[in-house]
Amino acid sequence: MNINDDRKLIRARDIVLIAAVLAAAAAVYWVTADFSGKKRYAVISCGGETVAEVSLDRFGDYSFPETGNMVFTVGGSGISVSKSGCPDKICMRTGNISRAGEAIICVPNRTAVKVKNAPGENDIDVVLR
Amino acid sequence: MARRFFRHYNYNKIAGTVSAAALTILLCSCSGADKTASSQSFVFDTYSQITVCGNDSEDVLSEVGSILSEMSGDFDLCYDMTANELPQNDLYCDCLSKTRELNRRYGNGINVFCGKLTKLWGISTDSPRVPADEELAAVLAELPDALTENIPYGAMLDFGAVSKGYACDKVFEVLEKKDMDYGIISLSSTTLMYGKKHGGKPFRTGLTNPLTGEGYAGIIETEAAFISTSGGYERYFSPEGTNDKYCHIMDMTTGRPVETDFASVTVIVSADVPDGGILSDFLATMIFSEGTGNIDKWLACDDFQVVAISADGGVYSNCEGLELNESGGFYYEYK
Repeated sequence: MNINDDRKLIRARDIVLIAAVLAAAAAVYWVTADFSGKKRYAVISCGGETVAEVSLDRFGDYSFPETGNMVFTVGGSGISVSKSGCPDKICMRTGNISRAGEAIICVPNRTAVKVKNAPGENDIDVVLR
Repeated sequence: MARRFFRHYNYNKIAGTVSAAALTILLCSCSGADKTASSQSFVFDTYSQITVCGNDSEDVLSEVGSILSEMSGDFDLCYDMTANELPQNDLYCDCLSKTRELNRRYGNGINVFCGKLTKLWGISTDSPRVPADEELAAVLAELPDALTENIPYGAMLDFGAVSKGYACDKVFEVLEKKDMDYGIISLSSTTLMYGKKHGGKPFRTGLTNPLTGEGYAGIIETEAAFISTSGGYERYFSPEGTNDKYCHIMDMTTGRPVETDFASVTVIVSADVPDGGILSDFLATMIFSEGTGNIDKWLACDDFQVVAISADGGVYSNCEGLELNESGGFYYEYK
């Protein structure tokens, strides 16, 4: 078999290259994806006081008296600020956050949204009470 | 060497290969997502959370939501039979007959005709009170037998011990009909875990520490199941100036809140058992009322599992998938 035959659709070195690209993509995925299976939740605080803790698997819009006209939206890609009366709208432009440690800060509203991993009982489906 | 390797490369072809690979990765990461739909609401006088996963999950979610809110209205705390409203509702009659069936099998500790008693104490209302002995005696004298076939005029029904479990049975039917992958229906004290989670992992249920009312006493791992908890730590009444605690579960013989040495009782029934929801709800209340004195009888049953936590922190269980937590400095021990 002549691997240098340019008429062939795929040559051996193509396969090497494809494998390299796939490996690189897998590496990127490995680094960015969350394999922990941990439940995450967002802590919404205003003026340093915790206003609410919202589980990121409870999709919906949330607003709280302490945070005025801000609306927080939890969806498939995490939590975002979907409405805010602040002048600069930096909080809204931050977009969705979903990984532990990420945060949205709204300085005019003195409000912060931080994503955390649920401590200890990360993978609980439901709480009975 | 590298130069030689890439020498013959057609760079358009490389670009094509790279985009094809990137597209593959993208498609892989999207498949399987977004089939899950969740919502929360107040039904059955409690906070409910529903998650369903499968085809048309949004439609199924709204169907389940409307069933629960409709049933929550029908099965409101007490149902007054005096207003010429003998049950016209099919669900009602069905729930009543299933409860009677459980009464026949497991005993009369639960009596859905106890509505007047519930109302007299008003434990879950804004104005609870300890009734006088004469008032209690009068209501007890008229209390219909749990097995009575003809509902006496003037009786009041209270489905509190079975309504959430019964509702979970109805939701189960919907999820099965719609062939959903899995669903988690939580009505606080009763939960339905339906189907199989993706990846085959078991469902994990956190059991609230009944001694503190917060944190977990343990975690229960199960396949698809109905799980109900009964406890006196959440709904109770403590008259001003006293240390007395009256829980919301009534003793049908004394007409007073049950005096039990259990802090909470959890019953797990496999989802393969028909009408497992009402069974788990019924049994949790029943076993809780009876206290530790009768627990061996229930632990010997093999058609359901029990995790009972006594007021002194002991755990009585025949449950295999149970992990006990150190919670609030307190460690549970098997007994």
